[in-house]
Amino acid sequence: MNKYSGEPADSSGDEPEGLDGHTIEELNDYLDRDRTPSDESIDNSPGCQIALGTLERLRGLTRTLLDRDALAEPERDDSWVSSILAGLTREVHAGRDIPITHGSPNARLSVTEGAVRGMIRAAGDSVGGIVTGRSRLEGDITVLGEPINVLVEANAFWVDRLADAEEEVRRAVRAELERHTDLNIASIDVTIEDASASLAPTE
Amino acid sequence: MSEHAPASLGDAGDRTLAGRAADGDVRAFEVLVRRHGPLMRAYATRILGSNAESDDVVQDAFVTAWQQLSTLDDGRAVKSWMMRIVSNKSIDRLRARREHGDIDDHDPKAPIEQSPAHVAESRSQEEALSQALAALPESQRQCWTLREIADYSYEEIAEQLDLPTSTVRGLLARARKALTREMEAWR
Amino acid sequence: MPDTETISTDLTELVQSTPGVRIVYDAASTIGRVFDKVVDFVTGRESDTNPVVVKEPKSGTQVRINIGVSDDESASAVCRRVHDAVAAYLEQQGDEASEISVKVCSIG
Repeated sequence: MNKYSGEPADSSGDEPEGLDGHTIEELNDYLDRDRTPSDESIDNSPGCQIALGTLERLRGLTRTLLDRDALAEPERDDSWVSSILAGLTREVHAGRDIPITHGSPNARLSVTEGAVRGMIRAAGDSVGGIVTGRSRLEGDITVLGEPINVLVEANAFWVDRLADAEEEVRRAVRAELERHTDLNIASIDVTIEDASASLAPTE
Repeated sequence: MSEHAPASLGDAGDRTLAGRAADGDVRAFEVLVRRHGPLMRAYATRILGSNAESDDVVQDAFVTAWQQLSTLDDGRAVKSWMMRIVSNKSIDRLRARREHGDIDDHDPKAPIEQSPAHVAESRSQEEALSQALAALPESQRQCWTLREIADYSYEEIAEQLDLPTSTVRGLLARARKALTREMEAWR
Repeated sequence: MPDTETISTDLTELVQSTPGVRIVYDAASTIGRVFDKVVDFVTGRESDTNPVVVKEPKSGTQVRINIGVSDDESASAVCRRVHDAVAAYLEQQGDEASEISVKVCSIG
């Protein structure tokens, strides 16, 4: 019989013994709903308690199974990583076009949002101990002169005063935006999360 | 400032990396590829039942992740988000195999169990589970993997494998019975 | 009047040699590989075909240019510089340019 043909919910034998009339499936459903509402006939059955223990062990082991697999994976050489990266395209992150002014009516000059984000990233990274994360330009950047709010997130490593670092990032980002673009910057909001704990030695 | 070595991209958290990658930073994406690649490959291998196509599946998953990263709201969830992409792509492969009639009539032992790392290890509870899984018929193993490892609901499994939900329930019940028997015997 | 291909070739060289321009991207293609490894570092271009797009409808010559600039100068300044160099070239050719588009796709 084709193993994918419709099979009814299993009600055959070969249930483990000593479950006092219950099935493994019932016990599994009991675990799924965190044993609430409690079922006395299950709770009072030694056989069921043993089976529930086994099922819980099964679940616990399952969670570690994948991690164990991952550790057992043979080391991949760099070509696997390179071939992934080679398949990525740039246009996905280009974003909107930010106009650049020019006197000539025939000129259509612009810088992409993606280029500006990269520039913001570099500005944040230039501050000691900071790794820039995501940045956003809020407002219609396609319209010349529109006030724009800039939002920047970052991680800090071994930075004594986060408030100082935030101010440094703000200054660096504003300086770069003013140097490279014609954007009207209304505000720059910097949120820094201390990530030093992730560098604590593990093993 | 304390005297610590300067932090590099490789030290950054998933949220920061996902944010940079969503903005177009390839270097940050590369860190994510190296950091989560092995787990994603192990995951694909578990769902597919062998590692023959897992490299391809994971590469596809990374390309999709790159394209859709800006839709991810919480960068901290990037790992589980990418794992979900891997399971979707793995299941697509399973479906393609079925449509081409590639289903084996016998139930092959998953080749991952024969890798040197696994063979050399002394028998442990995890090993017992691994072997017990390998001994399951493929249909039971797939349902169990999708439920317990990929965290799919019964309905999602039924939809993905194109089976009635009652069949999925039945396969899962059989799988659990076989596995608990194995685990009990090991004790 | 030289044909569009000659103009495209000339403009590509002109843009590449403009101070501040790091790379000339393919303005016609919508698929750009994220790694500039495909760039021929000698020519400073993304591919073998001319990356500068030149069209000549009746309304006048249209040029489309996508560039990556270095971090040393203002991206806006380099962008304007490229435009002006292209406009000067076309004027020298006796060409009526109706639109010159220059887009900065990367900085640094």
